[in-house]
Amino acid sequence: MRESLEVIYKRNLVLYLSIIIGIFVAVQLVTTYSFIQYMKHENISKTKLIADIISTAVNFQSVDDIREELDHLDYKSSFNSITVFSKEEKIIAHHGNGNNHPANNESALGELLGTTTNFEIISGNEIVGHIHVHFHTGILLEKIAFDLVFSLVLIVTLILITYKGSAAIHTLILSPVVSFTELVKSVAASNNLHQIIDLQKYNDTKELYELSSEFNNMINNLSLGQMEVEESKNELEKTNKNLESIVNKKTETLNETISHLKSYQNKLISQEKLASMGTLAAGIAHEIKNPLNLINNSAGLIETFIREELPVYVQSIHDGTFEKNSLYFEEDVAGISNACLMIVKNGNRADSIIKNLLAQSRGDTPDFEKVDLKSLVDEFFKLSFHAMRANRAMDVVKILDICDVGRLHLIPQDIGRALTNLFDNAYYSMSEKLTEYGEDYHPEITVSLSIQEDKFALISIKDNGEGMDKATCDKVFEPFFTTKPAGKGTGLGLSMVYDIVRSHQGTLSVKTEPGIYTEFTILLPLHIKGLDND
Amino acid sequence: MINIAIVDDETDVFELFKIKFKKYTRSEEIKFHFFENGKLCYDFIHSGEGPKIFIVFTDINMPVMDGLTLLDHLKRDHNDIDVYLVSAYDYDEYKERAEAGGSDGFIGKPHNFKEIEDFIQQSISRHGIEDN
Repeated sequence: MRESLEVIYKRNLVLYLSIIIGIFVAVQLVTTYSFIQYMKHENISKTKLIADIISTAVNFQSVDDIREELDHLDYKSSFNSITVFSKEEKIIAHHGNGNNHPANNESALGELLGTTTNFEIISGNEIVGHIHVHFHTGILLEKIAFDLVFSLVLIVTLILITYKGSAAIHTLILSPVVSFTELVKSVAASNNLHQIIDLQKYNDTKELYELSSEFNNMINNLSLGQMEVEESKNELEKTNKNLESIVNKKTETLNETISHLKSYQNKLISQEKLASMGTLAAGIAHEIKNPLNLINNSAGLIETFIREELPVYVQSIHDGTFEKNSLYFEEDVAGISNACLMIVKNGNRADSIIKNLLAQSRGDTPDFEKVDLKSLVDEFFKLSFHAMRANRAMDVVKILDICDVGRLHLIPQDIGRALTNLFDNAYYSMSEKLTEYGEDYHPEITVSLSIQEDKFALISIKDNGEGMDKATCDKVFEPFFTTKPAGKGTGLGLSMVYDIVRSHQGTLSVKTEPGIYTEFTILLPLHIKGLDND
Repeated sequence: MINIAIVDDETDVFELFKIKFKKYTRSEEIKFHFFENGKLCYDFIHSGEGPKIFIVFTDINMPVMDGLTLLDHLKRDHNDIDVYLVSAYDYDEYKERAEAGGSDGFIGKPHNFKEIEDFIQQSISRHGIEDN
């Protein structure tokens, strides 16, 4: 709990005054008490002296002598009365004013102040009587009264001085502090910075004058600052508005750029698709060339047989010499029949290859279907190999270790494209290494397909090509990342493979060692959630 | 009789050779030996257990051992055999490599059987002279 200065000030004032008064009263009491003690002692000494002086006279019970002795006492003026008693308690002599029987007159006050003394008169070793002295109380009372008055005056003076001083402090410090506080409060409350302190008021006090002028300075600075803040605020608002419009413009440009980028990306993706199709096209050309070769040659043979050989056989029938050649004829017909079968078989083969190519190039979104993964891998491995052979004359040792993994739900075109990409990368890496190492290097590609943990089909494609360092390996699935020279790769191949594998709820991983090997592993779930109920 | 090796992984081709050259086989002028890849062919020749092969027609693109490798092996170990390369890839590079390897001829696919026949005739006449 905070107390106001006023209360603290008043309480301290009362406390200090009380302490001053208390000290004064205590001092007064002590001095008065010691004075009384002193007087008591004095009086007892005097009484003893008197008793000594008059002891002989009392012994002889000579009243006149006693009186004479008493009259000669120097400090007669301090006594009020002296009464001398005999051994038998009879008053022998009484000197001074008042009662003859002071014993009755002895007041408690006299006892207390020591103004009444009793003393035995001893002569020789015998008590011959006693003396009773009653001293004047006047001096003592006067002294006490004077002290009291003096103290009172002193206290009052002190109180007055203190009060006056504290009042001055009050006006000098307390009220300015209060008024400063009020002013600061009102400035804070109203935010009105035009209130200043009248310096005239504190002209005489150095500190207050400084405080006031500093306060005024501060207010001035504040009001200047406020103006500056006001200006800055206005400027800020302006800048804000400018910024807003700039940001809006930038956002617009950015959006445009993004849409450009998106369309560019789409273009690149279709380019990538085309590129992988181009890769395939070379393989497909070879694949078609083979059946076509068989078809053409078969057809040629059939034609030759019909045109040249058949008429000879017909003639021999007419001549009756056919019997001799009938074995050859049967053999020929079997051969021609084989040729016909070859035409049919290879026609179908070419047809399915073309169908595949068309499926690859179809723009519409392909759908999941149940496909025998083994033959898919096999088919695309062959296509890619022929494609590679079409472009580079490189002898590659192919190690194919593919097991039957059954039919999986997948998009054959996509998986085919992904595989083509991985095969193509392997061949590219190996041909680069071949260029570097020459004949000492023997390219080798290992493709394996197996079942993993009864849940996945594992496709692994491992080449002994250039491999990758860590930095390359870390970025290998990032879109637009490529190590191929400009124009040779879009940098979308592996990111596309990654997307394809992900869309099949599978995983794609890579292991590599620079200069030694690269192995890509695709894990495809045998059952895709949401497609397989079995 | 001249023993001729045909090497091709496309086994249907063998049937074509059989039909096309039945005249020669019936007259026992020639005999065909068919192999699915270069290694089978080379092993057959190199073992020396079978009849002496005079001519080899080999495809280039084949698994296990391709035609160019077979050419190198044969020219190294059996220099007297005529080796003809047959390929669907009608590339200069292949032709150059075939020539460098010492091949006796290069035939494009589809098989030009007339050309093959000529090569066979040439070989027959050459080896016929040698036989005498």
